[in-house]
Amino acid sequence: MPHPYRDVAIVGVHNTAQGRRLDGHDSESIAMEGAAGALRDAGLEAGQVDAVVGTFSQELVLSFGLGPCARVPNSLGIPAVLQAAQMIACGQARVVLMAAGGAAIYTDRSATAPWTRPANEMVVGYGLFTAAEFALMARRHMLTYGTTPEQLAMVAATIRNNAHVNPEAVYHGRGPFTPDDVLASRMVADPFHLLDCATTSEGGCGLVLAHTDLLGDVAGRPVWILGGGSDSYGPAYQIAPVWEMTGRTDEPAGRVGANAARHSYRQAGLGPSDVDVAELYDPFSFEIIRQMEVLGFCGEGEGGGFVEAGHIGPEGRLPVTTDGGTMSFSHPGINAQQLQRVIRGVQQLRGTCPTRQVAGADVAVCSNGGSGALFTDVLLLGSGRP
Amino acid sequence: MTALGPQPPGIPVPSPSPVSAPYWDAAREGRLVYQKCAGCGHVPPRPSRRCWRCGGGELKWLDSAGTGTLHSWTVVWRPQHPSFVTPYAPVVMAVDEGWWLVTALVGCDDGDIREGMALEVQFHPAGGGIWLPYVAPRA
Repeated sequence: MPHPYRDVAIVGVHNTAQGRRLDGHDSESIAMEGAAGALRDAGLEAGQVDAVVGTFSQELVLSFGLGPCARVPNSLGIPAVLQAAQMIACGQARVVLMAAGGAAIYTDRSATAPWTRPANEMVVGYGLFTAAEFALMARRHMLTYGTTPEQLAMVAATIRNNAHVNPEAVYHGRGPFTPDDVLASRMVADPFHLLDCATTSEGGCGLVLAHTDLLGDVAGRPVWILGGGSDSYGPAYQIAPVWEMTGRTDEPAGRVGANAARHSYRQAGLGPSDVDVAELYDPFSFEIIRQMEVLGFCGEGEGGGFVEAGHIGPEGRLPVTTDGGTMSFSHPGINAQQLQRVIRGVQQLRGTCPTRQVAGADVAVCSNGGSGALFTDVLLLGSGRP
Repeated sequence: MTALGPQPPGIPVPSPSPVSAPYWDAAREGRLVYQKCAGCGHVPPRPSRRCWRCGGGELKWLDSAGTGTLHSWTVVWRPQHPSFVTPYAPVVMAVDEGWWLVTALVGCDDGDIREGMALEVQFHPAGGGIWLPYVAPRA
């Protein structure tokens, strides 16, 4: 049986300028810039787009005059990319445009960013927000496996240093950081210091996927979807984030993403040792340690030791989040920051990263979400057609 | 070492729904309640109409003894919202009846927190007619 995504290629990606503030923009306007840039990168015309997926999908139809156009609103990140690929694979669409962005939504700086504190009656009175939710998961890992704050700090320093050298990162030139710098930064939600946490910023991005029939029109090198999956244990930030919670299998919520990873590898016919670069979602330093385990790069409980051994650095066995991630590249709101993991994976496989390019990278794994949010999505990208 | 106490009124408070109202009504009376599925015994992670495990529709409200042990915790120094007094300590209590409660720890210092410490529930007014269940070390 041919691979389900054999005729689907990611042909355009774009990040707009990212910054702490982008004057004159709101979320929609910066998202539209992301879409326009992705079309430009693909070398395709707006008139060739026949479907839009994800945030601002209906605004895309209007802004680019795409009607009549298929649209799938309300999907985010990697699941939205997979949805777009499936629309092409099953013949509903030939060119799918996606856009995301956030600007002018974080205005009250006395509170944490709006997208970090979804209101829910069971948690709102206790002051929970994303840092606290992820901390409750990290604590279980530390208690069970002896994972240390120093190991967390090593993750944060590694990823922040990737941004330090990246001129497109919001926190370009702000390092270099050592693990001691991370440990010396003020405490936000124990065990997370300020530098263990994602930043907040503004920015937009876009992606274009197309059927292989159109590759003759495409400007850049196509990148291929080798496998993908999505695990959830329920609504994020509404119930106690308990590592040991289970659903239909014995796999606990703390291992969310393991099932999606197994599916993705199976679909790709690959294993963890085939992966050259990992563009992982890094809302908090601990999450990278956990994802090393659920993505199969080390055994259960071994994530702390894995990062301590230096494997995730730019010269390591598995460079991680090479643009600086949500910690230091950009964290502009719920969808853009997720799609940006995919965009960086595409850039790595095209060999176009101006900094921290992994030489000869052929397989990238991207992720979204994390244990504190009770979901993890996985996407395996390749430089070769599946 | 800083003492952990309940938040003063003025913090964002829950808006009970028709499904969750029994939980908040009980809290106002100083009772911690939870639901248990009559069919399979599962305790859903938040007030529900249907069992999350077997799909059964008969969820009974039961009184909890309000006791348990500390399962996980964090101490927050950067508040989610400026109305919160820091530090505060969101925790997960493993409730003795076999369910998990997300709440906040009061009645001890942040440096005294230990895995597995024995806890019991207490209630404090949060404003807007809402009383929040907190947990404190059990004597």
